[in-house]
Amino acid sequence: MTTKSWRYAQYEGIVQAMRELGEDTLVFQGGPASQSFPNNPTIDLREEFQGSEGIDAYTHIDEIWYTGAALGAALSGVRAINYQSLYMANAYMFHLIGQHAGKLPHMTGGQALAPIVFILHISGQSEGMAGQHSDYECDTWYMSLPGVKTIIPSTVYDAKGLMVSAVKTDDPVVYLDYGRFPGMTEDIPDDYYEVPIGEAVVRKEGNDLTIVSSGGGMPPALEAADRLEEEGINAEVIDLRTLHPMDGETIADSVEKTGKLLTVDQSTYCLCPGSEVIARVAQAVPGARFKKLARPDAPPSGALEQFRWQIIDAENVYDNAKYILS
Amino acid sequence: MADDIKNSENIQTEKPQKGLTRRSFIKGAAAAGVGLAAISSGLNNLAKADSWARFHADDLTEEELIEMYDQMLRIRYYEETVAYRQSSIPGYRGYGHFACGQEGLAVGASTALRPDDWMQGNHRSHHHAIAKGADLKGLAAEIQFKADGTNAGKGGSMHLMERAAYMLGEDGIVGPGGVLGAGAALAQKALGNDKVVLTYGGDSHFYTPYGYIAMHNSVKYNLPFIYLIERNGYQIAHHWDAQTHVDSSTKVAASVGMHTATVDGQSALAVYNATKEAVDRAREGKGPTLIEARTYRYFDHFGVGGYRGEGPGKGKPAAFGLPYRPDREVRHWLQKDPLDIHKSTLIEWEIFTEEEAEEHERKILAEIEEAFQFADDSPVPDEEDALLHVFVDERIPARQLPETSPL
Repeated sequence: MTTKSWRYAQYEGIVQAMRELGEDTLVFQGGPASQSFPNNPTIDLREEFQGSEGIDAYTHIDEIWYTGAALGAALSGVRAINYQSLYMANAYMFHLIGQHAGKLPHMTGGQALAPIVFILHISGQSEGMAGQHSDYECDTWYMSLPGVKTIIPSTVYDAKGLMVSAVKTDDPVVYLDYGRFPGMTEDIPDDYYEVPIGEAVVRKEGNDLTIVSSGGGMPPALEAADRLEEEGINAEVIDLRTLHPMDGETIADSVEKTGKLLTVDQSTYCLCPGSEVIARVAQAVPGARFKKLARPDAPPSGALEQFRWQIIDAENVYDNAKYILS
Repeated sequence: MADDIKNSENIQTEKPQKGLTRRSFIKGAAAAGVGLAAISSGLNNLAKADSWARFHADDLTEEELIEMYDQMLRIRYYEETVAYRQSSIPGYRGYGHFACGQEGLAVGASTALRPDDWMQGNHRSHHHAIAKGADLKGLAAEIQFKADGTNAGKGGSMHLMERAAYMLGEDGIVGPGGVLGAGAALAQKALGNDKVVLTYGGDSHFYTPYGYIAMHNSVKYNLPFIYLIERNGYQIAHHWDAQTHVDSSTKVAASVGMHTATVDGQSALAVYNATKEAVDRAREGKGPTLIEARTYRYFDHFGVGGYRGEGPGKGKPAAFGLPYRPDREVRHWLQKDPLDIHKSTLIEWEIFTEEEAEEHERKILAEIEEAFQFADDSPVPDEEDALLHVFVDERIPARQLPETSPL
């Protein structure tokens, strides 16, 4: 166990997965090829893999090229990792990921495979950047795509473990990288490990209420749960980790127990991940109560007052939890 | 970087300038680097008459020439105010993608447009909006996200926009401006009016799919569209040479039959000449033009890193010590400052004196101070007004509050 940063852990995941695979992997790098963190060896993708397993393709910003070229490489049998460090141009990539990476395997009867990790930075809480540069709703966009696995870690442990699984799977994976997490540090194992795609995790156990969240919704969800605990209310907090395919069983089991479900999303209200969570649980658990908490269906405002009011904080979670408990 | 315009002093004009001897005019123009707009006609080699832009600036009145200087000052002082505040006031509400160094370009282009011609800008939006004539007080309030801002505090630096100034909306994503501008031009043509549309793009605009489609289809449909590439040499921290092997956006434009021009973006009059020619062509139904204007931004891509200025009017604002560009490059371009060039031209042409120019500088500085006083006095927006402007005339429901209807 060593303390590592979010970004370092991701790179460690990439390197360890590439070593494990031992095959040619094309890395499209929208940032530095190396990462370092105190008390850890420096990771340099270029040094370790150049000319052997990997090719570093550090280029100017050109999302369509990154995405299309990664897909082309993957179709020719070369696994690709596509690190997209700028959040606002996600939509450029959506077409190639949704219409091509997600569908070609199916349309070709399983012949054309797209083993790619699309690491998409979502800014979500960049203040004062206005509509296009503070978006979060791409969690909804990508989780809706057939043929694409969409994951969203919220701990450093998962940032590495999900990365390993994403690199190793032969399906296209959208790895949503929430903009406020890279400052996070955590003690995590140095050795190779995987966090399986498709499994939610119970972060906090409780019997009174189930709170389901993911990514940027997790910090306020956990903070509110601590506050509720001080009042003797025990919320069970579940981190989805994978948005698609969704782990309905873990959630349904919890709601069977608590009878109350609150979903928490930093995405906008219409079709946020919580919509899907509630729809599944409503079919599986008769008689439960539900509440969906998400941002209003407005683009993020440039004005700080408006923006801070729009995003979901622990107080919103606490108030909505009290509401569903009342 | 190879951004110097060849033949930039090679001005040919047949008639003497008003109130000037031919000799003094040529001297002034040479000092100013005015005039050049080398126009290549792309694949249409028959249009040899268009090989050089005429000196349309000859037709500008003295008032118009002075107003161009005033506009450049407004942009410079506006940006310097924001930059100085951002660098010196902790927690300052504003920030900028500064266009210092590119003022002459926007002013030259806007002077060639009619007030009711449309303009589509981008994330580096301050100079576009001011040059197009948007309200200064509203722009000052907007960059501080205040309620009286042109965008009601919702947009800020990247999206400064005033519809009354015929702006289509400054967009923060690189590329789409090309097709949006061409689409607006298609609408003007369909309406049968004689308005033209100008889209500003940066270094990496032209090689996006949007840029290419805009060029291709504006020629195909013969649209009144002007694509003005502000080539400041960098896409964020990537030098032009690191982005593309194509040495000029005009080559891509020419390949689809677009009329093209390359111009010294530091000379407002040179940009005016080229844009005027493009506007005239567009109005006469002769189709679109791409103009590549060579320029430079004194600041970093975004914000005030490397800037140690002391506020508006106190020396040239620039950022030094940035890892991706040499300081000498910055100093090289500071010697070709668009405000200096225009000012010295007007002094040489005896349109105003050094002292009169300084009076203008004081006057515009006071105007900017007044605008920012207005901005400071303006209230912050009501937080719940975030729910306005999602749809027209409708307030959408808040969703964070427990009592909000789930429906």
